[in-house]
Amino acid sequence: MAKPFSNLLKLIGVAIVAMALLGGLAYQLDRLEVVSLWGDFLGGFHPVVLHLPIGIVIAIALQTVWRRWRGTSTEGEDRLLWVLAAVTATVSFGTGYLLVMGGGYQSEHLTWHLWGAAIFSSLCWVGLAASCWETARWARDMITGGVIGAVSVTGHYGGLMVHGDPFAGAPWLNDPQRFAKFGEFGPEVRVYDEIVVPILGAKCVACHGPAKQNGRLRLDSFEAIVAGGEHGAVLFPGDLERSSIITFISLPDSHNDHMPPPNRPQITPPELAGLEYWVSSGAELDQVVSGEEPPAELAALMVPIYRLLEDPDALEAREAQEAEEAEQRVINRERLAADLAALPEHQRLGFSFEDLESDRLHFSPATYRHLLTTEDLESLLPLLQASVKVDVSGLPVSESLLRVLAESSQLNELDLSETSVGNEVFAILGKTPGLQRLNLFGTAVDVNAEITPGSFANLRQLFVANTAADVAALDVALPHVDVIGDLGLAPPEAVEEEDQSSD
Amino acid sequence: MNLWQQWQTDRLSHVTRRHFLQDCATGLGAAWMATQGGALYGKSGAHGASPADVMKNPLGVRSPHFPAKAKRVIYLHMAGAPSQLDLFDYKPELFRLDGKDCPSEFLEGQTFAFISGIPSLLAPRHRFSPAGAAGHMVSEILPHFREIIDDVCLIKSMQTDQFNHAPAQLLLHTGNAQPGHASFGSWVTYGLGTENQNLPGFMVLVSGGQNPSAGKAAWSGGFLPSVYQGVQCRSAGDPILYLENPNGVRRNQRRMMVDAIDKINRRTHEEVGDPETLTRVSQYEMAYRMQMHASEVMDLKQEPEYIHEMYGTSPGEESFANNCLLARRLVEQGVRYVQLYDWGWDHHGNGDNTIDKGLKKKCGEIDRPIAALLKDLKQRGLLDDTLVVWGGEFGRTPMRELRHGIVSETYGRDHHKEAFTMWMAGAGVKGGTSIGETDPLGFFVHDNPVHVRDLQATMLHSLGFDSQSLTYPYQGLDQKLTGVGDPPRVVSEIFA
Repeated sequence: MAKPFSNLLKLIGVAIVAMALLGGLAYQLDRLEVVSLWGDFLGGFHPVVLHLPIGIVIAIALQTVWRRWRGTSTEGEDRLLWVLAAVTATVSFGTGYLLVMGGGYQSEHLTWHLWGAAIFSSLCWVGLAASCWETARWARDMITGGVIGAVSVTGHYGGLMVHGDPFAGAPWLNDPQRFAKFGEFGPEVRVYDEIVVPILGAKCVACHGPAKQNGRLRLDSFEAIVAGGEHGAVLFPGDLERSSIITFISLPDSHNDHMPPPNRPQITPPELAGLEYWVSSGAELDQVVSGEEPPAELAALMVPIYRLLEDPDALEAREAQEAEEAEQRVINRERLAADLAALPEHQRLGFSFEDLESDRLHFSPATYRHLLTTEDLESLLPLLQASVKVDVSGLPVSESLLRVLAESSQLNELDLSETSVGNEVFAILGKTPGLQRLNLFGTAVDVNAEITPGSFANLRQLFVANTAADVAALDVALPHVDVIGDLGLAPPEAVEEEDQSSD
Repeated sequence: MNLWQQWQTDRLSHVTRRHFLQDCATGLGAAWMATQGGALYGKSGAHGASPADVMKNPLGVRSPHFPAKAKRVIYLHMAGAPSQLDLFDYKPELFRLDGKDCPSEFLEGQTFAFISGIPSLLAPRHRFSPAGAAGHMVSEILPHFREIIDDVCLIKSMQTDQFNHAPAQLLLHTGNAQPGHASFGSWVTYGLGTENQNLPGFMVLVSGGQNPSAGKAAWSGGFLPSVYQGVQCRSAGDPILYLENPNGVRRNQRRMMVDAIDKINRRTHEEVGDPETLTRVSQYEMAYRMQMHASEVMDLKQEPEYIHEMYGTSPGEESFANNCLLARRLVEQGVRYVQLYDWGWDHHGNGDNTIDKGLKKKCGEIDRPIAALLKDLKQRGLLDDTLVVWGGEFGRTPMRELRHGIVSETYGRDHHKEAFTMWMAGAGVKGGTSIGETDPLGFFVHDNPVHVRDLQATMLHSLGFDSQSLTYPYQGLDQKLTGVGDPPRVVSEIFA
């Protein structure tokens, strides 16, 4: 038992010697002012070699754990790895030391990195010594554990210096939902802190903040906004035309440079007005306005219900519903397209979809109007009921067809002009729920038309020119409807009647 | 023949077709790829379908990007450019400054078609008075316009880049001041197809004695397949010639002839693959169908007397009134884009082309027909999905014409690209309104400028198209009506 104990003392001796050498160098760093071309050159290799000891000590640790678990002896078997670890760690320390001597790395992180590296390299030599001399297992485990600890600290501060803090971009620190609503506004409102910061935080900082610095621009602090990005300053106090923080938002949505990018929460007009107010009134950090009587530009934002971002649950529910509707639309559209494809050409050509994705049809048989018969129309009824606009102008429309059509929940616009329908249409169509426009130009409707009170609830326009209908009476019966009669283009009979009345 | 020519001839006679193919293999390949409409590299046109697919049924009805307000357009172009300052853009300041020199800060950096030297300002030569419910000031030489102003949105802040007629007309109608680009009506028929397969989707009606300065390039299909180009109707006599079969040729014989030609054309298309061959096939088919239907649509005599009375039409003669009535008959039948040009609005003050007499005479020719057209569309329920656009290719100067530095005896104004007035009606346009403003002299746009590209984007928007997505791949570039630069603005405040 004596031998391992004296070996332990020897290890402590190695540690003291190594620390004295490396630690001494580290202590001397501030006092050295050597500028050497070779030093700069060799220092440049620090990023190349520094990853070698990291990998090697991880290998040693994993091997140790593995062997403990399997119960096999580890005595002396990882000696080669320890040699490599000690040598590469020392070379990393040396190159790093030369790099720092070249200048430009003074920071709090450097001290931690340097001392960590000195301890790490020393421990690697101790570990090597322990693998050469018979050493207690607990001591060797402690050394391995210490090496892993030291390399973690060293690597962390080295990374902080070069790559910045990885935790700065952590999702739990950067959730834009923090800014989903403005805070409570008191009698005095600090425009920057209470209005500008939440808007930028909700809509901009995800890409121009700690997590990402697109365009090397950060908008998460006043200093960063003033500093600007890779294209220079973004804020010119008082100048909306030059301040690209404003102009990029103001570009049309379709513009390539429009901010925020598509598919991101957009800045709404009142929010833009708020930002513009701040910039045009001088973009000051400590500007204060009254909370009771806010300026008109901010008033729309400073209402308690205003939300910068939609509630995530509501958003999810809405998106799910929209996705379902879109899916249903696709299914409906395919079904309608298949039905259309099965029709003969003279029946099919009148139909078109409202837009590229819609499952709503329009019917306007411009090409084959002269060929369509009552039977054709009746066979088309299922499709006509899926149509929002139906133009059966000049066609032989039967009363039974009209009755079925009147049941359609889709129908918005119906063009019956130049058909033979008479006053019965008012009774038939009065209950059609979505009917907004009804064209009865040149039909047989006349002065005896009767409108059931409360019918045509959603009708906006009614066309009765070129008929014998009484426009004034219809106007009275349908006060919410724009009744359009003959506009100075009355047929000669009507003119004669007027003449008689003036006599 | 001297030795040099002898040497050249000998050398050329040794160059064979094989040399040509050998030397040009790469170039020919590139040329072929360029003709494939982008299909080879996965480009798609307006509809997510490749242009080659669209060409299988080039005039078939297609849906717009989003639900459209306008299904059809009637464009009333006053070729020569009417004076906004004597019709719509009322500038009382000009009365005070009449005859005074135009301030030099206005003239700096400006180019005019004819004015040279320091011109003097010219007051409106016609009286203005308030019109419509909103009381917009309108010239009294447009008495009938007052009856329809509550359906019209005036855009007083139009701007263009060109100050000569032909390039400005091309810029307005094709999006480019150079010839060779597709015109608005072509884009619309490419995007939407034509509702009525018996008639062309894009028809052009000309009055005023001559074609517009830009000529047929203003309704050309440009790089779009030629099936989309505008079809011009004759101004006087029968609008379309040769609708009748020749004596002794029966309709079924005509059918057999068309079938035989189609068969040959389709075989050629299978061999060569040129979409223009398909265009020719569909043109023959359409011509055959037009024989049946067009003569009826084109026959203004079918209209009752009171309609003629209202429009002031006289069938058989060339007149803007006839064209207005024809336009209504065409949109009624499902024609997508009816383009009217009326020549004679270039009132420089030369001869009869004066602001006082000439402009009044021209207004007399268009005022009643336009009012009748709008009312007629409205009472038939057509105005809600027909976009009506009125305007010139640019405006006219607040200054009196000063050609070669000499003050003329008569009143005239020069071309002016900085500010002019157009109006729109129908298809969801907010009636009785006015957008944009010019400065007190009417020289520059003061508020809410609308460039002709913005106008195009706005018109496309009302037809259900996003101007940036209605594209046609040509020469490796997705061509757009509004050009391939910065996206234009949709003037959404025009719509209700």
